Amino acid sequence: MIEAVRLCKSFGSTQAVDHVSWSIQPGEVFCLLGANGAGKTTTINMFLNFIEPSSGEARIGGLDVVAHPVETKKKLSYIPEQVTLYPNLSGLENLRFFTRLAQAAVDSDAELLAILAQVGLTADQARRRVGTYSKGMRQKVGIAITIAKGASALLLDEPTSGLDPKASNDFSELLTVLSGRGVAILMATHDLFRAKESGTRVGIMKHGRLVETLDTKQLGHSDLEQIYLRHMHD
Amino acid sequence: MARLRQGYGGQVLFLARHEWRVMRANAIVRLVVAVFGIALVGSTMLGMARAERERTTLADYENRQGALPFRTPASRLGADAVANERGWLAMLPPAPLAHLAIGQGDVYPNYIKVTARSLDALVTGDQIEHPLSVASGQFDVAFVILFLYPLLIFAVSFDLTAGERDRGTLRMVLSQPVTLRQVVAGKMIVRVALLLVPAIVLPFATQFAGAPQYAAGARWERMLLWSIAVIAYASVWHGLALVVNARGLKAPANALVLAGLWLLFVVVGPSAVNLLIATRYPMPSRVEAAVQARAATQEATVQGSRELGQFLQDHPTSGNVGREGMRQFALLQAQRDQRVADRLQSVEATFNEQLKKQQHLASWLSVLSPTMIAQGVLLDVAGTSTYRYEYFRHEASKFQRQWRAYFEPRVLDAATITSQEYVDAPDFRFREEDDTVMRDRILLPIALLTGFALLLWWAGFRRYARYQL
Repeated sequence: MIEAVRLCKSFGSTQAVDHVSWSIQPGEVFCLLGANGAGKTTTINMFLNFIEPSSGEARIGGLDVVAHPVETKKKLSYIPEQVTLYPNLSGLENLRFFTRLAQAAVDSDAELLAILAQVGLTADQARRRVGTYSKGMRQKVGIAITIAKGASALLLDEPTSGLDPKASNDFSELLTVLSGRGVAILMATHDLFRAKESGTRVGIMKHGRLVETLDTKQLGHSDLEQIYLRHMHD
Repeated sequence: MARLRQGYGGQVLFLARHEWRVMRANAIVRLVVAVFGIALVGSTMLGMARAERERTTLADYENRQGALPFRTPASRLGADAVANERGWLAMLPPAPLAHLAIGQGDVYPNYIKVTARSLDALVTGDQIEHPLSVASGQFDVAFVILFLYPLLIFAVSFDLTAGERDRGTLRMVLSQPVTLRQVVAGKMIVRVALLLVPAIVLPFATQFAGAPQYAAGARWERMLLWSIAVIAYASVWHGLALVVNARGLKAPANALVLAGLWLLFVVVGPSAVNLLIATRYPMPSRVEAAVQARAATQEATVQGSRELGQFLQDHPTSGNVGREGMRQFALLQAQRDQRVADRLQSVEATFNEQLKKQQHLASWLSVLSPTMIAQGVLLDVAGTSTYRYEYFRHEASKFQRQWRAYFEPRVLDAATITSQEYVDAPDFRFREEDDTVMRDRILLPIALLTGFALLLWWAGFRRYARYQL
């Protein structure tokens, strides 16, 4: 469960995140839309405890991330726009490192290779240096980390930007698989199409505030675009 | 395996092992370690060869000195010739760890000619030169540790977290259940071990591989003290690197700041201190010292020679001198020698006094640079600091008084001595100063270095709490 409870963050006189509240349940994919500077990344950074909230709470699995920084990180996984791994190590070695760092139960190479296969990386690719990987392949390793770690919460910060449509679609399918396994997912994105396709709910952020929350089932693609643009023009 | 890593320390060690893998793949790191290793082994080998040469030279002198100057056991020699012309060479064997640091070895002589008149005057040697200025230009293990080591610490530490932060890897790592301090601790462990292990192991391994006699018991304690000093010194530089990295600058900016600190503490600081000392207590030049000494000697010689000349005029042939005349001649000669010695001593005393003041000031100002503190400690432990040479001179001086007490009555009596009398004369065997004296001397400087290091490490880790990702 990913919960924001009246979450605020100000930098000097700038209110970057302004009383944001939500509760993302297991299996739910909550897509956070908004222009650049709307406060999406700041919000995600607060859930990662990279930035301390000015007030309010960011909770993972019911625990406040500031009070329980290590415990909450055992439950969550993070995929940024660029999954930056160690370029001199192979995909498998990177996965092994992050999985062991997460103190996950998965430990053997066979298990790790099986997970990499699930996300669409062959054993051959898994043994290649990550320095030779495309962005899509690195994002897949990010998903593999989430699976291997057994994370119950996933934070994604514009994970599909720069991906070609096929890679983007593959990525969305993996998210659907994760959500099917009960992972609560928070994804900041600019991609309205992806948000409608993969999301169960959509939140629109503007000037640090969550101005609208919508259920994707009750929306058409054009509806979402219109609502979004209306907020941006206000 | 996973269970072992549950704890805080377990995570740090796991991160350290990962860091080791990443660093091993880095060509610059491999180059740094190779350069360090070659410098350490090379300087140890050069040092061992130098100590061996010194030992051979002294052994040669020792053999020559051991041979009796008498043609047959029954022959006799003039007491003056034995006591003053031949004299006795007081020799200082190479220091326990002389192969690690030349120190003051090229400033102070390792033998002193003792005669019934005086010690060989200081001013005739090369020793009136400021030790600090001389000590910086030698290639020995101490040089590698004091000057090169900090630079290499910076070379592997300038990008502790900045590169990973800028590339984004650090965010990936910190999204796992670890703290930034654990990550930094893991990185520091590898960087410390990477250079500290060769810094301590290689010189000793080289010495044992090259000459097993170095394993002799007495050196172990000094080797331990040397290692402690190296650890304390390296910790200060690692601490500095940590503090600079914790400020969150970019890697090239860190490199620039660290290079500046190296220049400040290793080059500019000691030079400024030398300059300050030289300005505060200027030392007359060696040339001037030699001129003064020569003038003093000449003056005394002229006066003495006038009296001796008068004596010789009064006694134109040796036939009519008689034993009493010879005694009178010996007395005049002794008086002249004494005058020369007194004058030389006063010149020497002026220099020694100035040198003492300089050393006193230097020891106070050395706290401004970890390199200067560590230099004092390493030389003292190696046995090539000023202290050992001063102690040697002190011992030689004591011996000179015995030599003089034994021979002077015979010289003044214009006597001749037998080989048995010669054998019975006192001889000089250098006994090392008690190690506790050295330990007491280095205790405070080592504590000071350790204190600095702890402070820097504490400040660095504290500052990392505010590190912006």
